[in-house]
Amino acid sequence: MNQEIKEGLSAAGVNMKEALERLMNNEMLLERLLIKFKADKNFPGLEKALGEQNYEEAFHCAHTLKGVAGNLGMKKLMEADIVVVEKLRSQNYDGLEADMEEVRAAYNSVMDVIQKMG
Amino acid sequence: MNRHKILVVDDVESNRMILAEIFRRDYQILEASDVKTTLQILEKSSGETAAVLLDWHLSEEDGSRVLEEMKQKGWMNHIPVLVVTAEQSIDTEKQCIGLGAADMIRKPFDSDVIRKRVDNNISLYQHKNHMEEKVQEQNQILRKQYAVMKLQADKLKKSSQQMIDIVCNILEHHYPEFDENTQTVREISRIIGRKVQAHYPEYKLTDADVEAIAELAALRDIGKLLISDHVLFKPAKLTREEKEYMKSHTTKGCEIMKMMKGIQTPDDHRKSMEICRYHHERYDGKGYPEGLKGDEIPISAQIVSVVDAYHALISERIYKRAYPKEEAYYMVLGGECGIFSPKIMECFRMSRREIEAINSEEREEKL
Repeated sequence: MNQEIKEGLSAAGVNMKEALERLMNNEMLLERLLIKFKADKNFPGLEKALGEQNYEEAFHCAHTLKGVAGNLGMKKLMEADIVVVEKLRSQNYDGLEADMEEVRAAYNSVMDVIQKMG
Repeated sequence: MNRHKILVVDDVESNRMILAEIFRRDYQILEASDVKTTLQILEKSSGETAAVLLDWHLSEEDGSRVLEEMKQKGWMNHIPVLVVTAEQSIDTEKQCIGLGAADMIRKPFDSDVIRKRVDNNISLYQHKNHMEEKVQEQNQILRKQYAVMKLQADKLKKSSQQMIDIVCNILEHHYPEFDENTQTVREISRIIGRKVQAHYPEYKLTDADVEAIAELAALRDIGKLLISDHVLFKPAKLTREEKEYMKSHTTKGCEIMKMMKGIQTPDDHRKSMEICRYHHERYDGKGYPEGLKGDEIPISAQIVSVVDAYHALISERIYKRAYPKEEAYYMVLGGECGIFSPKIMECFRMSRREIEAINSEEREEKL
């Protein structure tokens, strides 16, 4: 991972220090996991399930996304996602679309950097 | 048992990879992405697994079935399950801990904290497993020792029974008074003893007590071996002095039994002494040698004394004929040959049919 990527990730709300610590400072592994994240189906799954108003499935996707994002240090994405998770859990769908917009923005900014990685 | 593997259960591969990275230096990592695979792995490797890290929200279901199955199969006693979840709710935590999870770790976790917590749980369980193995070993040793002791006690019991049988045989052969004595007296004592056991729990008689009393009843007059033949077999009424001398067969019996102390169990020995010494005591305190009253007389002696009175009546003696059993029964009940406790009398009354049945059977055998 070059410096530009690292800074990009930080700017996208990824806590690099925390993510690396969790991986015993194995930078290679973090890189692999980030690239893997491109194929992670939970965000697209969340969008799709919400489009179909399948809230149960949406909850499951949002919840898993929260765990994955958290583990990879994606603070901004995780925090935005937590709002959605809690709304889905309490079946309060008011303003859900606005909250999803936050998640989408955080997701896209992380993905923009990851797309450059390989 | 060497537990060197950690099973990581998560439906998201990257989550498994992160945990694998944290633990792979110290443990071999097993991975599963669903409940079915988890249980298959445990079926094979539960003996080598040090801990299970269980993601709670798996794609098909939550982790509760893993916990339930592990509990049911007994694995949970030996393997700590740490639930790893992004879930913040206290309800999930309650549910997991309630189902037996050892600990709960929230995503995102700190690698040092999770390592420490997993290590703590593993060493706690290993200590517990070790103690359990130790206790089991000790139990096994105790069981073995108990078996050896039981064998020795049984041997002692058996050889003392044989000894008593030999003594009874000698008595029967040398003294006409003891003829037919042993088996009949034992049978009657057993019948009455069982009635006492069943109807008067205050005496706390066990099956073994009843058996021992029946067995030892045949020794009640062993002291007569030390009574001179000219008194014992005198074909006329005894003088007052001779009567007093005759009474000493109770205490003389104890002297003989003291010699047998080493070959009897302590409990049998105590009963033998009671029976020899007190089988001529009377409930009203007018018996001998001590003049004990009521339940001062040990229950063993109370049982044997009614048997002795009844048996003397139905047997032929040098100074008397044998009474028919019906007459003997009423003589005992009427208090003509001793005063017994109302409880013993009640047991004797309840035993009448059984006692008369054994006597007639024996007579048939003789014919």
